Amino acid sequence: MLTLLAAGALLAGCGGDAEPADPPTSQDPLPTSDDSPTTAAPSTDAPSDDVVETSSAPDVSETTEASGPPELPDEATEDSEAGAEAFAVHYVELMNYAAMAPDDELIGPLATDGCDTCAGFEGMMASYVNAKERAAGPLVDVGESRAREVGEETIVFLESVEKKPATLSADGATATESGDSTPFTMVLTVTFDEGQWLVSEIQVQQ
Amino acid sequence: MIRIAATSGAVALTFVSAMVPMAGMGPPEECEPGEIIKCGIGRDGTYVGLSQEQTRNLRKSYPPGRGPENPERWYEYVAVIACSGNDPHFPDRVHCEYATTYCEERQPGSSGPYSYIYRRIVDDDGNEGAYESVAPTCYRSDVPPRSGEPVKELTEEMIIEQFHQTDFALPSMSIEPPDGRTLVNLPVFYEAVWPEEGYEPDEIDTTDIIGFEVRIRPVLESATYHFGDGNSIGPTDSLGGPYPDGDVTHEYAEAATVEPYITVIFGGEVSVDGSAWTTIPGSVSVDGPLNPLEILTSSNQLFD
Repeated sequence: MLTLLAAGALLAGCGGDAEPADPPTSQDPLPTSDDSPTTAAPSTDAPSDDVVETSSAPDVSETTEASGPPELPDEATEDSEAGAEAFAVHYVELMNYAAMAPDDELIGPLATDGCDTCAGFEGMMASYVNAKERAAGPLVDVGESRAREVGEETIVFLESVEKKPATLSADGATATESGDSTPFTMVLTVTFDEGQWLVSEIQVQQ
Repeated sequence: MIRIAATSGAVALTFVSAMVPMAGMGPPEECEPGEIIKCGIGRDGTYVGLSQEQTRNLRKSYPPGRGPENPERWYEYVAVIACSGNDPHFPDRVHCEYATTYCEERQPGSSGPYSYIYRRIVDDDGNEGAYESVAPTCYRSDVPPRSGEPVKELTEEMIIEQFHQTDFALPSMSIEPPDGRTLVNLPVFYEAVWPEEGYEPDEIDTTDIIGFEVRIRPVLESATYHFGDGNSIGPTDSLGGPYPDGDVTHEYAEAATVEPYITVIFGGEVSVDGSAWTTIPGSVSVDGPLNPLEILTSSNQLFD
């Protein structure tokens, strides 16, 4: 919660021991009708990897493939902050799908050649494919989000959780165990060019 | 010309990417399955805020449906220093070490201090929307005031001009023997005395130049003591002193009425918005007031 408006004792002048302020969240300090609504990430179709207690992991691959990759929403093609936000969320959803399918050709077309993290994620998908393995669940859960235009670029902040799902082999056996979840903020820089958004940079804030 | 978009510490305006740490030398490592955070940090890096260019480019952004051609509504920006007690209405009420060191460590060369940028929509009728957060930045002095307006830059020329306009203290002389009279061939001791009025060395003059707090601190570079008879001592860094230890002395050879005075050369140092002190190019020469002095002869007389 934003605390910059907190009252309490104020330190006048150069208070060397003054407390740092909590960073503002994607929620605004005061309501305004001009705000873009925050977008909660839609849930994926894949079940959680700790729900079903059977001798083998559920066959996520069939469920994932049957539903197909998430489609690009119409809003994600708009040249606006809301459009950038919808696109960024779609990118993460597509990455989650690609990890569970697995599929190493889905997220590449959504990024510029200069996006190193995007290339890293593509390589991650290729690792799944080459090893004939897949993620048992989404790699990232997205909560609050907001986009802010900065000249020719738009910065999208996704409040996220790294899920560290288990990795499954082709026969559904667990290849690697799941890990601990970690909250973080995924910061995507996106640009709109020739009618579409592209990711040019993905950084991490913790 | 040196451009100073200054707050704490920085003078250079070179672009600094908002990446910390930078990706290492050689090809980036493979991203292990599931390691999203590690992959991001190792590739495009940790996010620490807008770059200088991005911060400046905020001026190009307008509310939906508006632009430079129809700017009836625009964004107004404010950078709130990241210390508890600050908010968009009071953005720099509190300074804290955290905000200063954050930028020094993660974006060296940036102006700092670490701040959160907020914006609100304002229109021609004076209606103001509520503030909403934009992004953090270490380039606080590069935040534009509003859509369509670039940040004003404090230049070296502005600082030099302000330095020249400083109300410097004019040094007068303390002379011994006192009372404005002395004798031929008698050592006279001189000492520079700073008056109450004006800024003497190390006394800080604080002004506002286009929204920047500019502090100027005079530095004594030298003093020259003119004795009024065509002789002088200096330039020297001595301020003289009283009898018997003062090191600025003179003996007059002939009776006369003279007007000794001091010429001081001031250098200066400047601090902008609390930044470290830096030297101002150039100097200013000021003459102190005249100090009338009567040189007398003495004669011996015997009385019964």
